[in-house]
Amino acid sequence: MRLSELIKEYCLNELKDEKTKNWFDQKLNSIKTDQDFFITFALINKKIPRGQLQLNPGQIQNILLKNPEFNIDNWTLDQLCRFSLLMYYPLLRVQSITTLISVADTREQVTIYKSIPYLANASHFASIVVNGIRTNIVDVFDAIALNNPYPASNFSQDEWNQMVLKAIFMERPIYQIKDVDQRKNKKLAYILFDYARERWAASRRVTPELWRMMRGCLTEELFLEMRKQMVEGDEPSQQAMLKVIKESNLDVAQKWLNTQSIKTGNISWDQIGSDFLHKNQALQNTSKA
Amino acid sequence: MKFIDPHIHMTSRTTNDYEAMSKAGIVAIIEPAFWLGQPRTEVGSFKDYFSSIVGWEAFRASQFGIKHYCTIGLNSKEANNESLAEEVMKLLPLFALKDNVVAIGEIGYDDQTAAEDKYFRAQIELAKELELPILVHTPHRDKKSGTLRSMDVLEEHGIDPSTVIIDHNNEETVESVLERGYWTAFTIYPNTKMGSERMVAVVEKYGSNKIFIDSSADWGVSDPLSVPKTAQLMLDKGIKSEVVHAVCYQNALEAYAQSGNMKESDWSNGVHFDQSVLYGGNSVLRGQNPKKSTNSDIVDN
Repeated sequence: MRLSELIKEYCLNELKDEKTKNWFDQKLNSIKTDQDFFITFALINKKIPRGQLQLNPGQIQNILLKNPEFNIDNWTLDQLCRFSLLMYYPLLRVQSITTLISVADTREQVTIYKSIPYLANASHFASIVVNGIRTNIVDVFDAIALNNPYPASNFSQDEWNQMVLKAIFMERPIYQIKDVDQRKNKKLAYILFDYARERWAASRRVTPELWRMMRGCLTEELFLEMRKQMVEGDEPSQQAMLKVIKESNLDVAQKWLNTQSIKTGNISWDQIGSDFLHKNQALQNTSKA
Repeated sequence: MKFIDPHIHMTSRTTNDYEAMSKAGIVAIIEPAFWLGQPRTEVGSFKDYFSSIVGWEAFRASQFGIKHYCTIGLNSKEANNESLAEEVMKLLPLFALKDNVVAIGEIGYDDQTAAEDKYFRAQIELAKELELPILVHTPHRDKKSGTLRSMDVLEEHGIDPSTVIIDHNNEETVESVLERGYWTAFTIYPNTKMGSERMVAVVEKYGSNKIFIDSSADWGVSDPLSVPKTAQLMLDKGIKSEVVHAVCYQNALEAYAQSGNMKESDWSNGVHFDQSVLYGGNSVLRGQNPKKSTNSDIVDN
């Protein structure tokens, strides 16, 4: 059984209403034109419930056997049905997806970008996904950048760097970017350091996760600049800056560290990112209340 | 008091407006698809406009804690460009099914031409097929006969009046629209159409059943705070708060909830927005302090 058949089976199992189930099953096997495909994709909004999907461990394992990269988290039934439709439409070309996105609302865009990595001809859609990163709608950006295997395996270095820079700029949690450490590079590190300088000049903070991307790229000059800023930074930033200094091979940095009484602790980069994210979310909930 | 502005063109408004609206208690808005003050000449302009009101504008509103809906339709003015209108009609089903779409609209008559009539009828049929309410724009000129004609045509197509909102009413049209069972909306403009004072008199005379108000604020002289301001005037004139609530919130909700896409729970627990991302410059809150940083309840760690 292929991934598409497996996903279809799970979708149909979850559709309790017989009429809806038959409609969906019949559509999956009968769509022959882009216009029919677009309308069916849109109609899912009306016809299919949005509950969070409750797949059992066996089903999850089956999906992962087909594609170990598959990100199983946070699919709702309507999203999985749309994913299914994307896999089943036999004429899915770059032009079809381009048009589909151009008429999509936010929820649909999120679903499309979540689905693209697992389509049979996924690599054809790279320019579409690169363009998607230009969105300002946070949920759409997150759908591409976070927990999605596509950018790491399909973006060029410049495209990758743009995505990470924008993620940091938008304060998205970069620890959720797939292969964020594997794809870090000097060019990105220096762009990010410049970005930090701009923020410091405006008396604004940077996310502590930025320092994760400086690993292995710290020079003596940059270290001295950072040291100055550490006095004013908040605690998570200080922690992250200390961590990157500690991980560097610079003599001058190691000597300086030895003269400091501050404990650096053993906090991981993922933990730094997750603490920062949860603090932000808590702040947001407070402001909503 | 909480308000809904069920007719406002936010693509033409600034973030100052959003801030003021949120502060005044507006929790949800509906942005009917309309023209942009000058006629479009390409179908792509329509597509990008529709795309913006089903996506980007809803995101922009959410950043101010306001839930944004829209209606999709080909307006009567631009229906007069028939070759363009044909292409726009093909786009409508693609957009009308989206998540935040609560009606087909605003449609109806402007100069009451044959082309306007043709696309009004075609869109009534589309609304029937998609089971969506209809928002009718009544003409600025020859309003009374245009309004009556709109209702005749709707009934000719077998539309249930309780699924239709007739907008931009005045003292001349209100009686027949109410009598025939339509949702009867009034636009409160600072200078033209209905003023707040006149609206108070209408509510005093006709009560709150099936009546609601909106600002229709757009790119012209208009006031995005018309709804809360008129509500205040009503209260000052001694109109009961239940009546004000019906006219400035509840009735619009009931009318558009028939779409299945609008419900109070969409905003009662806060609209999803992530203020933390707005520290960055490339958002609508460029470089300002996000609201949360002034909140004294925040526990710093």
